[in-house]
Amino acid sequence: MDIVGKNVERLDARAKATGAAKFTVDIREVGMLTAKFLRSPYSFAQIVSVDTSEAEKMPGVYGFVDQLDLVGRTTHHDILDDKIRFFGEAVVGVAAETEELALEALEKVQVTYRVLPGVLDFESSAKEDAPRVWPGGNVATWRGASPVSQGSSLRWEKGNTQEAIEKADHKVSITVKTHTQFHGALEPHACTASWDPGMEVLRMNISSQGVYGNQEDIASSLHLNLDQVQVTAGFVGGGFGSKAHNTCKEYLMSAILAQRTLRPVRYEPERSEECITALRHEATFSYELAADNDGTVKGISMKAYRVGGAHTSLQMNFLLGSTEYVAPTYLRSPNVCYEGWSVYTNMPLCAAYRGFGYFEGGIGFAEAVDMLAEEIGMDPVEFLLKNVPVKGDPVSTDQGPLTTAGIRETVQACADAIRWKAKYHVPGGRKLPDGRMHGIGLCHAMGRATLPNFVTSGNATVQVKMDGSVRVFAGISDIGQGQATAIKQIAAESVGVPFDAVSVTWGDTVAPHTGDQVASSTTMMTGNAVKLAGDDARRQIIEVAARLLKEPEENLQVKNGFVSSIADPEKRMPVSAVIKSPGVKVITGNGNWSITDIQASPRSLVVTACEVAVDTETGKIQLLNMVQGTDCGRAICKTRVEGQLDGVLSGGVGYVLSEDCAIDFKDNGRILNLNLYDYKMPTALDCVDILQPGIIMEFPDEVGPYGARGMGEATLSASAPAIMNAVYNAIGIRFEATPLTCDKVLKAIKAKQNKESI
Amino acid sequence: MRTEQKEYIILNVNGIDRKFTVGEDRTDVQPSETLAETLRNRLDLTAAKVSCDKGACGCCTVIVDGEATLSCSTLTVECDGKHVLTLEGLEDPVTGELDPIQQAFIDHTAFQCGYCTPGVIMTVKALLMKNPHPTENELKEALAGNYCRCGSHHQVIETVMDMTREEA
Repeated sequence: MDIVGKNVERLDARAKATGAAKFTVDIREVGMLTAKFLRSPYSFAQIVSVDTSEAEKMPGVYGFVDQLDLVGRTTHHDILDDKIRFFGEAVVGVAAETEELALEALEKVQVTYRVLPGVLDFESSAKEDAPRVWPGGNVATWRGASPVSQGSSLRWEKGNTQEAIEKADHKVSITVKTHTQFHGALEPHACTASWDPGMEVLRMNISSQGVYGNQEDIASSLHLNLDQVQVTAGFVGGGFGSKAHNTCKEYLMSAILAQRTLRPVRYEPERSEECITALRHEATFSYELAADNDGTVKGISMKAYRVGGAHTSLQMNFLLGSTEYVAPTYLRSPNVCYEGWSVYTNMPLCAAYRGFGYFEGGIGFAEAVDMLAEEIGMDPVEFLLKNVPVKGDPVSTDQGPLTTAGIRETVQACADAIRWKAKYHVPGGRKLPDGRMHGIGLCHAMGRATLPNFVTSGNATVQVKMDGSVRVFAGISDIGQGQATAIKQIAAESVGVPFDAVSVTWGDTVAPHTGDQVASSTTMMTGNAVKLAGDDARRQIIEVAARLLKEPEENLQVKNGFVSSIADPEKRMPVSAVIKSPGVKVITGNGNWSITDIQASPRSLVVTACEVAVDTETGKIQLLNMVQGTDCGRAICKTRVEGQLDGVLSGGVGYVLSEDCAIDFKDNGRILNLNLYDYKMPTALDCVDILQPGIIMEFPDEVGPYGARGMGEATLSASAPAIMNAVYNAIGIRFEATPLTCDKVLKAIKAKQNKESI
Repeated sequence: MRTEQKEYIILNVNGIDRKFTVGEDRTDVQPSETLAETLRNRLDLTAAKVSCDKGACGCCTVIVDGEATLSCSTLTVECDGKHVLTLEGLEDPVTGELDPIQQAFIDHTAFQCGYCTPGVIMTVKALLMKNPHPTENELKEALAGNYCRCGSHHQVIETVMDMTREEA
């Protein structure tokens, strides 16, 4: 291969290093108005009336939209009504010449609320007599909101799990509670909207991971044809799931304001607004695991209890991520069952979050695995090596054959890199010279790498132009990982032209539908579509060239911008000459790719091994050493794979060691630290002392383009449990709740000391 | 035609003197206007980003009279007579030649989404202007106020340490 696998310069590198990259928040248009929103002071209320008459008189104030205008429109998979369902939800929007004017106008708006009793956490929502967030009931199911009496959101079993667990030689159980997390993307959920009356199109720039979902939601809500809404997400300042299938009400309201005022409108949330746009909600997981004396896993039982927030959104998908990605997938076991509950609450949206559910679901699972290995008396790495699935094993709910081939090899490579055999010890067994306790942990995480065909298919178009250059239309967002560059590499490779001959239209609904940029699926979904489109274009180039060169098609190849005879490379012509030949002028290649989970189950994989030092005087945990490994099938560009692995520091390490939401459940579920001071994301000072170079294994995936498979999400999911288990190894305390901030660790150490002294 | 005396300020931004009247009209710089607002909304210099708007994240970092400065928490009127350098000012406007820091960030892919990058580069620039060969700890201290949610901290640190070592 000439281009795939090379460490090429990212196509956005210079733009990002010079400030030429314009993000949604940077876009200004002539006559543009600023939208601001009045937000609900209640977690649950009916909007009785909205009076904007005083505000309308202000010069420079152009238009209003409120909740009552939204009744009957759809977003987050719900048909909106006259109720707001969480503290801080947008109630009234205004468009004005300046932000100051808009804020002044909102002060003059009168809203009459009828306050309703709500539910803020799992326990209060999952009662039969609880107030209902939506009329159908508080339990989310695939069929819609359902009453508690109808049971769980989902359940699945293979074999007879309870019997297998009872019969097994060893069994363990643990219940673990995970906490709420901000996504923390530095660019907020911003948008612009402007109506073009000539082309009859509403143009929106949205800081989005899923332009097609936004397009569908906005078109249907505004009663426009699908193609009368164009959504563009050029440069996007991070998303981490929060911008996936998240058509904020504010986007709809901004679009309505643009239609009503016939002026372009921009909306840029403040950080306090941004933080409640989406959350990783708290959840509780119970596990029972059992194995025989030789370490063979016999049964896995998992129960998940998730807070789902006020909207349907992706909460069922997220619950599936928490359960089926983990219990029937991480380890081989003949008997597996899971049951999941996701309940509506009067809290902000449950959006996707990097490590789509299996991040949280995997934490307690890995603790249970560690416990089981200890119970049997086996080294935890040996236990993993014995039980992780291999290529062809049935995984996930659909029990499709796994295509990920290098799980054992990656576990082994990470164990070797951190010198596991030399360093692993009994819990509390090693004190460092400075008095801190040393611990070591190793975990794996596996997520999706495709989306099922009922969710989306990958589509792309490749156009070869008269000068031999290529334009790829692949509308997937690039929120930072570098997918646009990967698309450029794949297209150049498949058509057979130089890297620099290719340009990409990404993050734009003008390109054929290719789904959201989620689930580490872009490499396979869009990547395969681009490869097929490129192959299609190359086939057509050869078809024309065969006539021109008077050579059979099967004897021709396209390489580096030339069509040549395989036998006689001197017999050749440039691609540009083929396109310029009579009757051609442009060659268009199309690609469509989809797959079901039953056909094949490619799973992204990351393994994290880490060493920690725990200060028993202060409770502070320090990461001393970390190794991460992935089998990504084939690295389209290793630099970018390493970038994804390094992403562990933000959402993964931060989640366990420093980040926490302070939620006031006595005051409408108001979040008290909606800023970046009191919410502690890691900085350069929190970098792991020694982060070893990422281990990149390349066991080609049979369904990936050139064998490649996405891996970005799993990075976070392997890190959190590895730290939890390393802390157990250091101080012998099995934490049953996150985060492990100093106060909580110190409290647990004191409690253990008190217990031991009695 | 009517005349009115108005107070004004002059900021030197990326080598060019910019004069603004101060007052309450829309065309005036208001006394409460931040440097970030002036740069982004009046001068179309949008590289510096406003992300937290409270001086916590560092995305809005520019250099004022040689010091890394949070433009979201600095009033424009305070910058009267001062030299402001933004990311846009690092690139040679005639030749297009980049500052060595910018080139190193490109060569080492020391970014992902790139939203924090303008602030990160300006923080590094301010550090290197005073201390061309920082230790890793000095660099980490300087960058302690720059959030990066993609987790590119390691690449940034490696890039800058490599670059300053190469130059040494």
